[in-house]
Amino acid sequence: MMRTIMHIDMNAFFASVEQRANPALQGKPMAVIGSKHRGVVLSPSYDARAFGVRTGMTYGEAKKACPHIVLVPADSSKYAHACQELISIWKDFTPLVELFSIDEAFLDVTGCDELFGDPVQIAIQIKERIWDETGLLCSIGIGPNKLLAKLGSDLQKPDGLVFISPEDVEAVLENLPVKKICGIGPNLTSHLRAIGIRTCGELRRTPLKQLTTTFGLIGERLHDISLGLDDDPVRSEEEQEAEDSKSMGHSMTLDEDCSSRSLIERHILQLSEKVGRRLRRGAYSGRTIALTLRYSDFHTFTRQKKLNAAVNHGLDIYAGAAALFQEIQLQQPIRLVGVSVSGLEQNGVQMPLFEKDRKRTWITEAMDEINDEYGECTVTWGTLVHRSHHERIISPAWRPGGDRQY
Amino acid sequence: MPTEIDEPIDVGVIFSCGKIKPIWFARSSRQIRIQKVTFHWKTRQGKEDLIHFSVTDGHNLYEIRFHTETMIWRLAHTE
Repeated sequence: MMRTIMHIDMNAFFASVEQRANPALQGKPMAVIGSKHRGVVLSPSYDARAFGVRTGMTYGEAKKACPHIVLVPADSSKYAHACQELISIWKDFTPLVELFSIDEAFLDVTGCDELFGDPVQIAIQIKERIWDETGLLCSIGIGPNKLLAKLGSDLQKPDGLVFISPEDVEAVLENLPVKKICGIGPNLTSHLRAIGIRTCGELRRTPLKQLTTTFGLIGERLHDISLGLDDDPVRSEEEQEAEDSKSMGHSMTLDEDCSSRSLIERHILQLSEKVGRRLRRGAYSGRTIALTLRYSDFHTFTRQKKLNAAVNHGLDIYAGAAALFQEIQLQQPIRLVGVSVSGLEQNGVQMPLFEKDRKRTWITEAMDEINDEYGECTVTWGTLVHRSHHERIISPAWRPGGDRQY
Repeated sequence: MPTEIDEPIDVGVIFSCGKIKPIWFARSSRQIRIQKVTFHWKTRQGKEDLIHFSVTDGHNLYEIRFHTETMIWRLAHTE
């Protein structure tokens, strides 16, 4: 049976939610920024885009492009709530909803035509309900797979509706730049350009053997992409949760670039505590600790180490991450710090044998109970009294009902 | 830019069909009639759910917040 997949992309989502919450912002060039201190543009309104404001611009660049732009700090709780409203609308049409990020989702509407009409009629109904119930606009792409559905939603913005049937695939892809395809990033684009491939049509005419020789396994995927083929299923919420629970991590962009090793260690402790809390909440523990650092020039690297035993205590995670940090000679100030734990197992922590370890477990349980009752960090380590309180930006891994709070 | 207030307030609301609709709130002995609830959302503080309402009296924008455990309303911000 031919599948019918939709990709729904909410247009300028964060900005549109802020405009809905504050009607005075409607029709004005405005943008949601990451924090008051380090204003990277996360979501410009379409009025701001008309002045050339783009996602990823710094505060200064946005102000230069549009001097009268209104900049609003991100408020993740609003976007999470709006996303839940959207999911409940989508689930009225199909149970197979895969949240791709907080403002994008794939819907498998195969076989829904008897209930709601043909795919285009379903898309129109979804768009109308989203507008009526949330006041937000979206672009919808429809295709026989996720690749083409996602491509369709990108072709017409804002408020678009594009249906790519199997017969249209060759014509749609022929002159399409390869960088427009989801999964072909800047690096792969420049590698393809180096061998004379700029469009999907050129990619299609490149022999499979040449692609696999040059790119290895990715070569086969590139060949499928050029033909508009993709058999990746739309994953249900349960399948996504199982996949998400392979590792847990947190990262933070610092309010300003930092070279102080002691300050960076404090951020590592803060992140380790957060990761430990999440692990314990799901009765998880893990053996592999990873530390990610990003320099001020955006060069990002990760170091990881495997421990002898699975851990879920913040101090154990910190010990692993701090040991990794000790081995790194900083070449530049640090912009972002991330800590994660992988190789997860449930109920994998060994029972403490010694009095000292037992006491630590009891203290941790007591701290968790207090923090569950009164909020995060009501009780925490003295070192973290002066922790970072920067505004939180919603994580791409956020899921409604998941264990991650924004 | 929003100005943080965070002070307790009295609020007149209608509870209907499982939803809360704030109608007015009193600040400094002055009653402010809510013309429109522009947005609402939830957050969590420990075990307590907080319900936030972005509201306007036609001139100014306010954020008021209902603490579900303690049944207290607070004026969070004003624009």
